[in-house]
Amino acid sequence: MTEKFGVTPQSRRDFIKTVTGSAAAAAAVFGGMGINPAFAAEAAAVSGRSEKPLKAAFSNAGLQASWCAQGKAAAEYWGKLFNVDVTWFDGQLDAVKQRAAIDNMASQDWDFVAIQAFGIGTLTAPVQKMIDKGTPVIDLDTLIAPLDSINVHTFLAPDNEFMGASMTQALVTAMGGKGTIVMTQGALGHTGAQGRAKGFESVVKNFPDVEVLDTQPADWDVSKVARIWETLLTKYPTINGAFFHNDDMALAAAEVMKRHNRTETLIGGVDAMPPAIEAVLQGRMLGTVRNPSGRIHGGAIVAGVAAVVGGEKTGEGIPKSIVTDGPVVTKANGEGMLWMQKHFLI
Amino acid sequence: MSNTEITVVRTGGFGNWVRSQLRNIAPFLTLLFLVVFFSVAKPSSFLTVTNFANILNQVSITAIIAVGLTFVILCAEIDLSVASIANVTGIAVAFFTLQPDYVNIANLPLAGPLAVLIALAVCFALGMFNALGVTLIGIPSFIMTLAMMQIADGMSALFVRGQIAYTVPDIVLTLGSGNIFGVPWIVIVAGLFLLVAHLVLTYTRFGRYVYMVGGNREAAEYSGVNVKFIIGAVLVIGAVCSGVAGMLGVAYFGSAQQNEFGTYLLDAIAAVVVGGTSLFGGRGGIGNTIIGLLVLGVLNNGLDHVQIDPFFKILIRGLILLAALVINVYAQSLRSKAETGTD
Repeated sequence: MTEKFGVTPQSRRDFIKTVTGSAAAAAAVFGGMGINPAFAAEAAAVSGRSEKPLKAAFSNAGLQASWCAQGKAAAEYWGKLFNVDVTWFDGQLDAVKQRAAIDNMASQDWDFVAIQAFGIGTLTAPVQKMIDKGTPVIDLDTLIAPLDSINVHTFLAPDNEFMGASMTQALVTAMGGKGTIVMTQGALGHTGAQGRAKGFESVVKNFPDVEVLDTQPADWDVSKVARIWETLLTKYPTINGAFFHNDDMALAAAEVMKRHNRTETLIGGVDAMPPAIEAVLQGRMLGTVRNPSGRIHGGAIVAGVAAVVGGEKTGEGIPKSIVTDGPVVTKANGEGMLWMQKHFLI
Repeated sequence: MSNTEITVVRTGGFGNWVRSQLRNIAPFLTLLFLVVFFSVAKPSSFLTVTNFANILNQVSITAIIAVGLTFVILCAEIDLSVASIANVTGIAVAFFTLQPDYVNIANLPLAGPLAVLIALAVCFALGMFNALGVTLIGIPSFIMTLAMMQIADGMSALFVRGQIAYTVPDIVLTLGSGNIFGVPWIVIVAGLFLLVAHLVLTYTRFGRYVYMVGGNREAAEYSGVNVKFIIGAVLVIGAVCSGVAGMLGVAYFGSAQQNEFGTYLLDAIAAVVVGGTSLFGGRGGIGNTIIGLLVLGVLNNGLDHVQIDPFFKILIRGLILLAALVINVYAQSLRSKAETGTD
């Protein structure tokens, strides 16, 4: 890796000597983790890595979801690089349980916190308490509260409408701009699902020869997906395309199609988690759009460190909202995407 | 029940008394163990007044639901619809309240007190359906309330259609998320529900009948107790308690949405049973429910204060609850032996 970047051990040492003490400490940590120390030193110098370990609390919707578990791993990975001890409060895919966890989080002291709400508006009181204490709160992926009712440090989230539109566009293009299509939605109350549905609709309305057969929600539930698709495959002799609001549902439906020997359907998903990318590479799925868990959770570490060490404030150094989009993953870029995910870069 | 206990003390001494009371003592010891453990493990953050207040806050909604469920379980019945009724009542009160412009729900705004009354009527009516299904038609409460769970969930879905509502009437907002002299109103409301329920169960004829129906239904019937009325009444009480919890819960959480309160079903049942109330009816009470609530509250809260793998926390929580339940069942058998005088 060192040779690849053209930095010799000697020049690397010289470079490290020129940076601050904190950056030198960063280099030691980075080097120990197999990351190019020159890059590490530079990154640490830019971000203002803390000498003393920072304490950060994280919570996302629920670690049962592979996307969230990947986010946890990314936060911990980037936390080690930036000298941040990450404590996790699992949302357990349950608004009540997450609220209790965030109440407990708010009763302790943290340098910064990062939260992906399972239910919008359910965490407002304890989050406000932390903000009032002066703790930077970084909002991940889903709004903690509607509009500008809460003053979070920043909001790191993908553009769900864009993701829905870009995947649908890829599907419709592959269908030749005509045929039948199904959208299987996530939970209707989820803003991510609402955005993805909006993106889907914005594309299909431009194609009069594309007929939308069904848009039922399956609530992210793979068993519900199986039930819905058993019915759809019986009801419709040909389904040319199918857009699913996440990969887990897409893969579950792909299994149902396989059992029914129905191979005509082009499948598109969202999240681009490794099993879905494998399915894309094997041709079982046409594509999946990346919802960059690593970028969102790792970005929260960087944003938190920059706030605590570098003194960044909302609107002064960091914008109120940061869009963290990912590309549509196809056979062409699948391998690269897997590598980037392995190293928590996207 | 208390007469039996006195006899045991006279005839069997302290050992038998302990055995007969193990159902009550064991949950208390579990609670004590958890408090000591988390206090030693994380004294700086766990053992604070703020955190104690936090625990009380966190168990308040479960407490109100558990009050109703205690009546139901004491009658040897079960109500699986409590969380769904809480959810639909909370959604109903928001549905009949004026929402901000960005809320995309075709709702019907009414005056606050009227919205509260309609929401209360909703949970009362659902409780009545449960009661009629169980007592008149003869559907087992497990099945009847399972169906009601689906019905209430369906009503919730119809009210909000996947959207989220945020505003509730002022009175609900105050009781759900306000404070008085630094004490959250929701803790006071939960305390009042627990107190009134305890008084009813301990000092009223209705309370005695609840124990009689749960302890020996046939005997109660032969004694002239209107068993069907008692069972119907406890199901309505359960639904109304859930409805109140749902309304305050919406204010506490700050939003009303589908599938919001699902977790309260198992939490409320666990609080009642872990506290020592028998699932087979006739034994236990509000005191047990309070201990059960605190066991769950301390356990859930404490696990967030100690640094352990979050994937491991769920397992630990399950194992501790299992241990508490095993002790509960074991205590039941020891008590039976103590009462019959066998070893």
